[in-house]
Parts: sequence; structure tokens; C-alpha cells
Amino acid sequence: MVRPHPAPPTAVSWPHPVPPHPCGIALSPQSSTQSQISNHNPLLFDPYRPLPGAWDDYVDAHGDVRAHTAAVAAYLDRLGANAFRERQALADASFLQGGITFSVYSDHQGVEKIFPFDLIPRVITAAEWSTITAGLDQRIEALNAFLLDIYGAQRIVREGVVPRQLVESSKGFLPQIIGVRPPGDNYMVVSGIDLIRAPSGEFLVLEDNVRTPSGVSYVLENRTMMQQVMPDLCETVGLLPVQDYPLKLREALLAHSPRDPDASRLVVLTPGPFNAAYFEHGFLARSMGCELVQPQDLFVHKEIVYVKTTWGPQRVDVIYRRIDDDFIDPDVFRADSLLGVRGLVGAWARGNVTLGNALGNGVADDKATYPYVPDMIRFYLGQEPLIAQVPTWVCDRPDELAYVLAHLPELVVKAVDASGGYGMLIGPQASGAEVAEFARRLASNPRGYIAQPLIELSTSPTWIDGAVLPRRVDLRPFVVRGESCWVLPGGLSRVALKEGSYVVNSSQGGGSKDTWVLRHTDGGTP
Amino acid sequence: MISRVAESCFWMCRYMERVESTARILAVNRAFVMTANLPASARWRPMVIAVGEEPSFLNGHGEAAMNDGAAVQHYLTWDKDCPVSILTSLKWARENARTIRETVSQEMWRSVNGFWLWLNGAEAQHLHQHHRHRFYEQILQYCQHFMGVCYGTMLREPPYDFMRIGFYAERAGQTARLLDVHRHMLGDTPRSAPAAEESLFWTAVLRSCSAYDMYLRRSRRTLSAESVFRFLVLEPVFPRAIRYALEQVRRLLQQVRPADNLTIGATSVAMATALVARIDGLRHAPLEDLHQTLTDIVDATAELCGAISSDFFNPTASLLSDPTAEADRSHPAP
Repeated sequence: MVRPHPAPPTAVSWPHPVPPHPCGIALSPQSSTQSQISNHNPLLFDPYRPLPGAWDDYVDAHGDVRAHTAAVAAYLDRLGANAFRERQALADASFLQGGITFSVYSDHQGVEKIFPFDLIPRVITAAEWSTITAGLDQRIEALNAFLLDIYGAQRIVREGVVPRQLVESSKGFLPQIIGVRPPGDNYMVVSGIDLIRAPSGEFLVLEDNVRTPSGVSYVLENRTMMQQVMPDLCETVGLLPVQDYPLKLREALLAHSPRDPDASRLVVLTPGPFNAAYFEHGFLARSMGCELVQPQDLFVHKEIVYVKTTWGPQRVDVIYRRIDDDFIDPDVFRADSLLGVRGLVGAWARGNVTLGNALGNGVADDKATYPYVPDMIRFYLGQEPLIAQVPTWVCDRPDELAYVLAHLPELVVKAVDASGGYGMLIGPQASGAEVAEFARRLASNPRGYIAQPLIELSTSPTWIDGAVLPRRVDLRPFVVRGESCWVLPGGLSRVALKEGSYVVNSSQGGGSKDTWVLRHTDGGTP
Repeated sequence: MISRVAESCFWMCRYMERVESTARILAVNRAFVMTANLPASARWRPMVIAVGEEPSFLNGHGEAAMNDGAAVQHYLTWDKDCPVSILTSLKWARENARTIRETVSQEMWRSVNGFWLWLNGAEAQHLHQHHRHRFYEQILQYCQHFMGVCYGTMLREPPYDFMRIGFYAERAGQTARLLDVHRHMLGDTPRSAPAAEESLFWTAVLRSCSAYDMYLRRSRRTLSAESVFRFLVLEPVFPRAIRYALEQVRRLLQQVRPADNLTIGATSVAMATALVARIDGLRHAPLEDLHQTLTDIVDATAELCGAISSDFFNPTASLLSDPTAEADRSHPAP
């Protein structure tokens, strides 16, 4: 191999003893596999058996590769297991080297882990994606209208479409801010709507995250990684890019700044380096070209927010905040919060600072609000929902609670305000004691729970200890709403790495995959 | 820039420079004690005293360990409880960098993170056990890589300036400590030790600062405490000399002040200016008490760092009392 530059004069091992740089790998899978194919380098997809009863991203019920994934599958097959293993190791080392991690804490001793990344991408056709985009756009508009209404005229409650008691009992509902209108009437600069794929292949909304959804940094880092370790494949397939997310987000945040956007100071507000998502907070600040601040860097004086700089206090106009409502201002919400900025809510209510996302969004993504979203779409937009959702029993309704209690072993029960895959019962996989425990919890706090049928989540081929096996996945597309709505093409695909698991959360052994939206409409349909 | 971020820039580089000085001082002492004819009590004990950790080392390891080269090197390299060990300093350099990843360049982050993974990995252990010299050399290379990447990638703006203030402030103090090792090793006055050991020692000190060749180009005198001291303290163009490092701090402090409000940073600039003038004053004076002079420099540098902290990192109440007066000088953002 000819080096473009002379080797360094010393025996220094820069960068470090990690697997060779991507450029050093033979890029044609064909040439590297043919000599070894017979004994050492088995095909990746042979054999690959999808789970019965679940939709698989790559293979149909007859075991045939789907048209739109054929090119990717063929490439991976030609690459073979040995080369694939090498590239997977390269990606893992590179994530570690780059410190692309999330933090797991016990006793305040931070342990940084990499978010396991699977190199086999999910592939979504242009046609499927345009349906998803339209559906998300519609859903976000309805949810934003709902918040504007709930903190305003409350028409939807007065007309009986959504029960008043449900709204007022939501932990995310903030009566303190009734009458406040956020700049541009925009509550949801960023939302992450979790989608799953039913056995029919249809995408369904599983839950809404419209407070501070996280994970987008991994989407961008995963794509960068794929382009590094499988450059030839990325190039031939033709993907919609994801890398302009930070600029779209910046544009949306600045769209409703109280001052001229060009002269506005935008900051990302993080709880601090001990937060599990601190990597992402810094990533977004860096890629939006703005500053990352912690609560103690900000203060409010006469309803104006300032940041403490080496040149004295300077005004802040827009805050992309990654601190929950409860903790954001000890004067208004939790007085014991150490993460808050005193007076921030007052400055926001006066329109002197723009918060992304706005306050009070928790009432919209309460899991007990979720069953009413299709009705909101009809009520505010006069349209039928373009994406369906999972049938849901609200345990707060006595008749539905009775049904749920009678059918617990077949249902999935979720706490309305929990996330991360916690506070959840998967009936068909639970023990008798767990079912009994949930029956007790439901009876004592019915408002706290909803129930859904167990949906056979779709699967995607995943590299597990040297073999490719079907593992369940979900998808979190990110929607950015500024002057208009923009959906990041793809999103975060999380995969349950444990066999048989339905829980994809990173805190519970989940990994992630790159999600590819094909550029061309002729990519085939399922 | 944000005060907290400025402080992290400053400390990240102080810790990184500390990693480098500790590696240098250990490497050079190892070479020195191999050739010098010294009593056991003068071989490794001075290292522990010079870094200011004598009480806690005695507490944890006992008197006998003070003369045990392996124990001292292990303590100053790997000990998690030793606040100046290479491992601890690197941990804090990296933690500061991690906290301000939006500010440091990606290459800088990868450099310090790669260094950290290496130091905690098998290769570093192997080198430390079997090729000690190579181990220290590798550490210096990682440190210099970090500084080089910093130089090559950062915008010439306040974050970069605060990083360099950290580098140079730490370096001034460390060079003073290194020179002062002499007293602990060979006695209070230069004339108390045999001439051969004297010359070996000063050669080693110069080498530890990569200063030997530079010294020969500058000075025609025989190697002596005074000539080495004059070079490593007073030389205005040698980058590891105290005079050079403090002049950089002074210049950079002037640079990070707002041009239209010279009350900001006034204390630290005045202090740095006085300190540089004081060192220049030594140029033509006879050198009497080297130890006292070095102690004064270490103390004055520490005071200067305190002033930098209150000037820039912890904006005082008076600055906060009338924010509107300051508010309109903001950089165009984002």
C-alpha cells in the first residue's frame, strides 16, 4: 500500500492501538470474500429466519428478501461475517475513542458506556416515509393546538371531547401558566414520536415525547459512523441526509426569538455533566454553534435572562432547555430544585426569553392523554389521522379498568408518567406475582396507568455474537417545528438486543441502528 | 465567554501541563539516580517533597517508602488518591474537557480521551513495567499532541486564550518546583555537594525541560546552580522558562479583557505585570537565596491564579448589580 505522506519519523503509535483506520480496509467486499467464502467467511444472511407473527424489515413471510432491502442485504452477504466483524469492531472502538457515550451513575461515580450500535441499517422507502412525514406533521399540529387551547380557552374540554378531570389530574399540567402564550404560539420546537411496526407492516404511533426528547445525537453519530465504515454502501444506496438537523433546530429556535434572530443569543441549558444525556447536550450546542450553559451560569434580573461571562452579564434570548419543567424554576415549581434558574418562568411569561420546548407540554404526552389524540386531530384540524395508533384502555374509566384487571396477563400496562421502559408490565411475559402487584397498583391509582394489547413489534436483522438474528425494534423520528414543520428523515431506531425482549431502551440493554430513508421512490414497496 | 467555561478551559490545560511536568520530573530523576552517587535518602524522597505531597505520602505509605523508587514512582504515576499523580491529573484534564466538549475542538477531545483510554489500558501497563523510559516518552508525546491540536484547531478567541493562560501559569509554577528539587537532593547551597553530582544534576534538570541544547546555545558558563537558574528563570525566549511563561500569561490576560472596559481583569493584569518586572529585576542582581526566590515565585503565581479566578471566573457582585450596562456588548450570536 502506498502512503500519501511519509510515515512519522518516530515509532509513535498515533492515534492509538485501535483497529486500522477505515481507509485501510479493502472496500470491495467481493474481492475479500471470494477467496475465503468456502470455509472461513460465511454469508451474513444464511440462514436468517424471521420470528413468526412479526413484520421483518428485510425478509417477508415466505423468507424472501424484500425488494427495497435487496441491495443492502446483497452487499452485506458479499461482505461476509469476517469483514463485518472487523467493521463492527472498528465502529465500537471509534465510538469509545470519540467518547460518544451515555452515563450510568451509581454513588455519583460516573461510568460512561457506549450505546451499542448495530451496523445493519434499517431501510425505509420513500413512499413509506412520505406517509409517516404527513402523519407526524398532522399529529404535531394537533398536539400544539391542544396545548394552546388547554392553556387558553379550553374549548376541547368545554365541548367534552377530552375530560376536564383528565387534563387537570395530569402531572404535566401546569395551572400556573394558564393565559401565557409562548412566542409564536409554538410549544413544540422538538418532538420525538415513537413508532412501531405492526405485523401487517403498518406504522403505528406508540407514544408521544413532546417535552425534552433525547437521542438525536446518536442518529447523527450513527450516520457518520456508517459513512466511515461502509462508505461504498452508503454511496450506492442513495439516502436522505440527516446531518442538517442542528441547523434546522437552530433556525426553529431562533424563529421566535424576542429580538432580531441575527442578534440573538441562543444557549443550550443542561442540568450538568452528571446528566445521562450530557454528551448530547454538548453535541447539540457544538453543532448549533452556540453555548452550553448550566443553571448556575444564568440569572434573571428585572425579568431578563442573563448569562455570566468573563466580560460580565450578557442577555440571553433563546434557551433550548434540557431540564424538566418541575426543576426549571424553584420560585414557581419545585422549591428544592438545585437545577433551576430563579425567575426564568417570569421572564418567559413576559415574552423576554423563548424556551424550546415551552413549559407545560407534559399534559400532551401524558400516556392517558394519548388515546384522545385522534379526536384532537379531528377536533382541531377537521381531518382523519394519517397514522394509526395502538388501542388503549384508560384505567381511570371504571369500565375499562374492570376489563384491564380481568385481562392483565395478556396486556401491556404502562405508568402514564414513566419512561425508559420502567414502570411497565408485559403481561404475557410476567410472573403471577408481578401481575398481582400491578393489579394492586391499578386498583389503588387507576389514573396512573393505561393498558394496551401486546403488539408483536417488528424485527430487524441484528448482529449478535457473530450471527445475524431477528431483534425487535422501534423508531423515534424527530420533528422540528419552527416557521414550519420538518421531520428528520429516519430517526433513532432502537433495538432490543436480548432475545425475546420487547424493551428497546438504552438503560435496559437496548442498542441502536442507523435508519435509512431511500431517496428514490422506485425503491420498491413492501 | 461564559465564566464557568473559561474556568474549565484554564483548568483543563493546567492539569494537562501538570501531567507533562510530573512525567518529565519522574523520567529525569530516574536517569539521574542511575548515574549519580547519592545516599538512598536523596534519591526519591525529594520528588515527593517537591510536589508538596510529603505528609499524605508518609501517611499512606510510611517513612521507608520515601526511599523506595518503585513506591514513589507508582504513587506519582498511578495513585488515585494522590492529587498530582499522572492518572489523577489526566482524569481531571479529561473531565474538564468533557464538560466543555462544545467548546474544545473535536480533535482536542479525541486527543485527551485517547490518552485517557491508553493510560488505563494494557499497553500503558506493559510499557510502565517493561519499558519505563518509553512509557514517559509516550506520555510526553500525548501531552504535546494535545497542545499541538489545540494550537492547530482552536479559534483565536477567549477560550483558546484561557487555555494558554492555564498552560503557562502551571508551567511557571512547575519549573520553579523542579529547580527547587535541588535543595532537597543536594543540600541548601550549591557548594555543599560534590562537583560531579552537581553537574550531573543540572544536566538532568535541563534535560527534563528539553533545555539542554538550548542552554548550551545561550550560555557559555560552566553548569552551575546559578547559570541554570538564570536560564530557566530569566530567559525571555525559552518556552519553559518562568519569565517566558509569565510574560505569556500577562499578554494573554490583556488580550481577554474587553477593550472598552479595562476595569475587568485589572487586578490580575497588574499582578502579572508586577511579577514579570520582579523577575526581570533579578537579572542584574546577585542570586543569594535561590530557594527563597523560587518559593516567592511559586507563591506569587498561585496568588495570580487566585486573581484570575476572581476577575474572570467568579464575576463579583458589582458586575451583577447593573446588568443592563453590560448587556449590549454581547457578541453577535449564536
